[in-house]
This record gives sequence, structure tokens and C-alpha cells, in this order.
Amino acid sequence: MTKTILYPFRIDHDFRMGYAWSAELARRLRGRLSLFTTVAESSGESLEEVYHALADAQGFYVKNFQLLQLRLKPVRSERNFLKGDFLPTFRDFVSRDLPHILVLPSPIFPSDVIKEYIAAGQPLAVLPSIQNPEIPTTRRDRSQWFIGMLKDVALYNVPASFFVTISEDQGLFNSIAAFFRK
Amino acid sequence: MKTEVRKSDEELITAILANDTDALGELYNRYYKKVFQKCLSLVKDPDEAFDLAQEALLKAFDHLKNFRKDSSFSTWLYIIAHRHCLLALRKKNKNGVQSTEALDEEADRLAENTDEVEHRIESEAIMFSLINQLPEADKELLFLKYREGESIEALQQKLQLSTSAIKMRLKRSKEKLNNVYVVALSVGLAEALAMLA
Repeated sequence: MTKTILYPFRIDHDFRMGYAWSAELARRLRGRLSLFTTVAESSGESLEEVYHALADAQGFYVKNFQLLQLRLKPVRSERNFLKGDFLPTFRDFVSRDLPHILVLPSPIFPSDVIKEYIAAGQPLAVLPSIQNPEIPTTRRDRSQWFIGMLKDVALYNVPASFFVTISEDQGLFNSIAAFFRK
Repeated sequence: MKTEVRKSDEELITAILANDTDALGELYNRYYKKVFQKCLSLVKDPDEAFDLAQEALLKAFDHLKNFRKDSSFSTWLYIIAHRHCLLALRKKNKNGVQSTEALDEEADRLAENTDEVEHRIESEAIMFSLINQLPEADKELLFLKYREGESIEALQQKLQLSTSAIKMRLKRSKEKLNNVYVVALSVGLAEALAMLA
């Protein structure tokens, strides 16, 4: 069964890094990236604006995560762009279709909502606030960017197999697994 | 402070063809949003346009060796995106997902336009290369008449020749050009240029 990685975002926050990380996670897990955001009628945001922001994020991801350089195709995503207020619509969406892993950008989610999902046993990756990410300059550093970011991501309820799948480099896997077992 | 110099599309393509794969990501990032916009204007559905843009870009990158630099990279890329969207529209239509006469007509119109644009770009490039190799007098006359749109009377005054002499020279220059143009299309541009050398 294909794993679903759900990444909710809002276009009034810089989500390029979170999108790139989630897309890369989905690719490494051979899963399906599901995206969620809302278009509030009152704010004047249009669906087209969301797609333009997403196109920016896609360009950022492909350029900086070395996909084409490694002859890898970017992961396809399923877009769930709904009308309504962000938080209640999101909660309703998740309750209807639980993802395998939920990637939550901490700046747009209140801590009590995050705690709720942790308590419910939902596998969760909470991303830190990333403003103007410092883009690695060397090819090698860029190819390891995803793994390097893991130290700043808070993981909850994630099975151990998660680490095996995301990294084909056994040495790297060992060091990451050891870090999270502390 | 170190300032990063923005490379031109042509520089990036040269780098890619020389196996500098970093340039691929740069080119993708530079054009993804523009290609998305192009696809959106054709298929009208942002969700579909988002995937089509990605497919069109990857298709273009797979065929980068075929980019002959007769036109700008963006024109070449947009033609590929155009065609890719058109195929998607046709496929969709065939499957009956959105079978409307209007859509079919639009697809046909786009197909014609795409072929037309590509053909025109190619013809212009060949013609321009050939004219540039003509003797100076022929070149000047053809440019004045067909690029600047000068009348026979104006040419007569400018070149201090009779009307019949202007017409005769124009006829000969066009014949010369036509002959090498036929060679360029049937045998190849290099052979046609060699005839003029």
C-alpha cells in the first residue's frame, strides 16, 4: 500500500523549504505526497495564486535537492486545495483520511493542535520555522540537505523502519537512528 | 560581497551539454513557473497544468541535444509545452472526459499554430543565414526591399538605377536565393551555404 505523506501549507508563509522536504520524504519513502491548503474567499486569494506559489516551491525543490542532477524524477503530488478556514477545514480533512505521516510546519499550527495529533498516535514530523534557508553551495552538501535537516525536525510516533527507507547510506542511517534513540 | 552572476539560458545549456548537471536544476527553476503559466493558458485547469508543466520541462531536457539555437531556448521550450498540452487535451478528449466540440477546435487551432510557429522560425533562420552569405549587392537589395519595405521608386533613387534595372536585379537575387533555399531544405543548410561561398 502506498504511503501518504500529507503536507499542509499556507501561501502567506514561506513554505518552499517545507514543501521541498516533504516532497523529498515522499520520494524516499516511495510514497504519495498529498498537499493541503485552503483558499479563503474573504482573503481574495485565488486558486491560481496558490498554484503560482506552488510552482515556485517546485522549482526551488528540484533545483536545490539535486533531483535532475541525479537523474531522478520529482515526485507527483495530489493537491487538496479546499475552500474554508484553514484549521477547521484541515482537521476535518485529516479525520476523514488519515495520512501515514503528517508533516506539520510549526509556525502555522498552534502547539495544542500538534500535541493532540501526538497524543492520538499519529506519525508526525514537525518542521521548525525556516526563514530564508541557507542553501548549501556544494553539490555534495545539497545532496545531503534532506538528511541534514532531520536534526531540526521533531519526529513523533514514527516507526524505526522509517529511517531504513529514507536513507540508502547505511552509515548515515546508523548515525541518524542513534541520534533519535537517545 | 560576492555577487552571483546570472548565466544566460544559452550558457546554461552549453554547461548542461558539457555534463554540468547543476545547470539543469537552475534551468528548471527558471522556467517551471513560466511553463506552468503557458500550460494553464491552454488547459485552463491549474491542477492539470501543474503536472503538464513538469512533464513538458523534463521532455525538453531529454531532448536538449536537439535544440539547434535557431530560436531562443524559451521559444523552443514553449513550443514543446504547447505540443505536450495539446496531446494531453486530445487524449482527454478521446477518453471522453471533456468531449466538447469547442475544445477540439481549440486543440486543432493550437496544433496549427504550433506547427506554423515552428516552421516559420525554422524558415526564417535558414533564409537569414542564406541572405547573409549572398554577395553584398544582392544582400543590400533584398534587405531594403523585404525587410525595410522600401518601394521600387525609393530603391531607384537610393541606388541610382532605372526601374527595370532594379526589378531585374531583384529578380536575379531572388532566384539565386530560391535556388540555394531549395538546396538547404532538400540537402542541408551547410551544402547550401557552401554553394554561396
